[in-house]
Amino acid sequence: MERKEEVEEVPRGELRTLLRNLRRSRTATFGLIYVIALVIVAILAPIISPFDPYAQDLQNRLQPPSFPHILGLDEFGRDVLTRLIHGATVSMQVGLEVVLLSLLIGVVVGAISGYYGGWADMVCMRIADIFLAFPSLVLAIGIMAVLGPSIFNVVLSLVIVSWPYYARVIRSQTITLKKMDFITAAIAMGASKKRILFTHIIPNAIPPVIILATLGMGSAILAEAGLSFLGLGVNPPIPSWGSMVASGRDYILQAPHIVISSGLVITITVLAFNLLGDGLRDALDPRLRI
Amino acid sequence: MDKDKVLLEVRNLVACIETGSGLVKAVDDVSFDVRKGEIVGLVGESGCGKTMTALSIMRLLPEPFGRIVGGSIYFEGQDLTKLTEEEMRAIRGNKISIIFQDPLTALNPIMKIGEQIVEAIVAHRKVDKNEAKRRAIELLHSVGIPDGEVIASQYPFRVSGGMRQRVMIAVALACDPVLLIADEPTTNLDVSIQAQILELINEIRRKRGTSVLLITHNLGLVAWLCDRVFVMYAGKIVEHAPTEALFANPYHPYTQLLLKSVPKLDSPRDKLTTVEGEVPNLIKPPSGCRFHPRCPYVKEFCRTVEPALIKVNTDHYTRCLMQDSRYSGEWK
Repeated sequence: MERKEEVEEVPRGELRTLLRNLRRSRTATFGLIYVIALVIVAILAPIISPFDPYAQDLQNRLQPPSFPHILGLDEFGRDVLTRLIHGATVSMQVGLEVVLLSLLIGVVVGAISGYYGGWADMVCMRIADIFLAFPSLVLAIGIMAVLGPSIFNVVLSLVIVSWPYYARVIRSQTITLKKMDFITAAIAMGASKKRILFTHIIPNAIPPVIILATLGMGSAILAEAGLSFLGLGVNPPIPSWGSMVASGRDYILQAPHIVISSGLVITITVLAFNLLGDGLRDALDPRLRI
Repeated sequence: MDKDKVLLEVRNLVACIETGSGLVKAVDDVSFDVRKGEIVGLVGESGCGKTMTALSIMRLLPEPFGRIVGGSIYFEGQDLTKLTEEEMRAIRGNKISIIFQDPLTALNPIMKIGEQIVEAIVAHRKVDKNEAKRRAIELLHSVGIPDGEVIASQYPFRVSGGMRQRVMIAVALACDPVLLIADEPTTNLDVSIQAQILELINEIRRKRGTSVLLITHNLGLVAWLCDRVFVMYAGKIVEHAPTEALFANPYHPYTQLLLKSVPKLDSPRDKLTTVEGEVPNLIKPPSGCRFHPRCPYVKEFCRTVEPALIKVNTDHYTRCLMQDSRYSGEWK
């Protein structure tokens, strides 16, 4: 009897619905495809890049785009396309590590704040406020100046400036969830506080943060490029988009292809993450669901 | 069976809840008991304190606004109001389970049904995962879901309301509790499903000997299912009796009006009787008898004299001055 009712309900796989809603927006679809392509490029960089990123050809330095160097050579005669491809690995690595670590800290701090409230909430949120009070890039520059340039330090400094955003979102999610019926039902079932936090609250609090994490990828990549541009990021000669813009800047008139190609890649990548994030926000909006 | 043995005894329970506009005594000096294997109904309008009573027994009053202010709740000899949170946790879901009104919101939306039942089992029993899974499917069978294996692997939003309520009951029965509190278990279901769920509750009592405290505003359910009934009004018990006695001979005007407002098939289709007026504001409850602003038989002294529970028959008590020997002459 009830079986019938069950069939009538539209089967909606969460992921499938999400993708269907995403595809409705052309810009979000572009973001998604670009990001997937970038991930593949970043992983397969050593295999797909046509040249060695460190091989110098000083006789042909600053060579404009031509075959076989499609995007030309840089000031040391290294292939620009190859260095852009390897730079993708660095950017994605930094972006992913920053987002995942910030998310981890954000979840722990935010969930404790929101769930236990009172004194713990007060302490955690005031610490977050202190970090939020600084302009984040200035704080990151300061930390990098103290720690010295390296990929690890870039990740560390960017995590320090970005975790409070995640903590705040998780905290507000936790506070909302805490009052929901199924949490009361879980307590009524005899579940311990720890169990309620880990199996009921945190898994339900994470999905909305995915939007923030996607946007966070874009800004982490941009911040890394910014730090590398200032010489505070990734150590040369490791290829990084930001340092490519910085070194290309000296030859902007003789060889504009270096600045243009690396600048464009940064712009499009950040744009793609933002479009994907916006698309996800719309796709996850319950008002758009059918 | 030891049917007369009292399982749960609530004595002079007072529970308050803080609201924006003041402190509300939602449960005011409530006493009742549930015996082994018995289904007891707690009946009243919305906002009369039924759910607050249920939440008090489970010690689940919404913190920090709600709290038990006085009285005691004896369950299997111990006073639940005096237990620590950890001791209480060992009882919740294990000895006493509760089914909530809305099965849609009372299940975790992103956790498979099977996992939620398994969680309820492992919260109190030391069993390995496969054993717990097997028991979860067994439980689904016992609440009338034949293809338990399939349903166990579904998310709650994939199944119908009636099915979800069955799942809730399966979760509640996971550790074979001795007392099941059902808070409006059928309010959000359509009528044919309602009957099935009630039949299921009755069957659980029959087969497992589980005592049930059924909280409802629907007197039809009470007549059909309950052994004894407690009628609650504005935070107080106003009448209680074995079901048949209450339906045959209601003494309190509120009970009488409630019974009259139940639609019946065999009566002429006139206008339905309603209980005039509104549930009183419990921040400032009416003086004297709390029902006096709505009572059709109200007399002057009803406004000032607070009635006590008066014995009118074996096991039948009512809180009305009409039954008080000092005032009974007034209505003649």
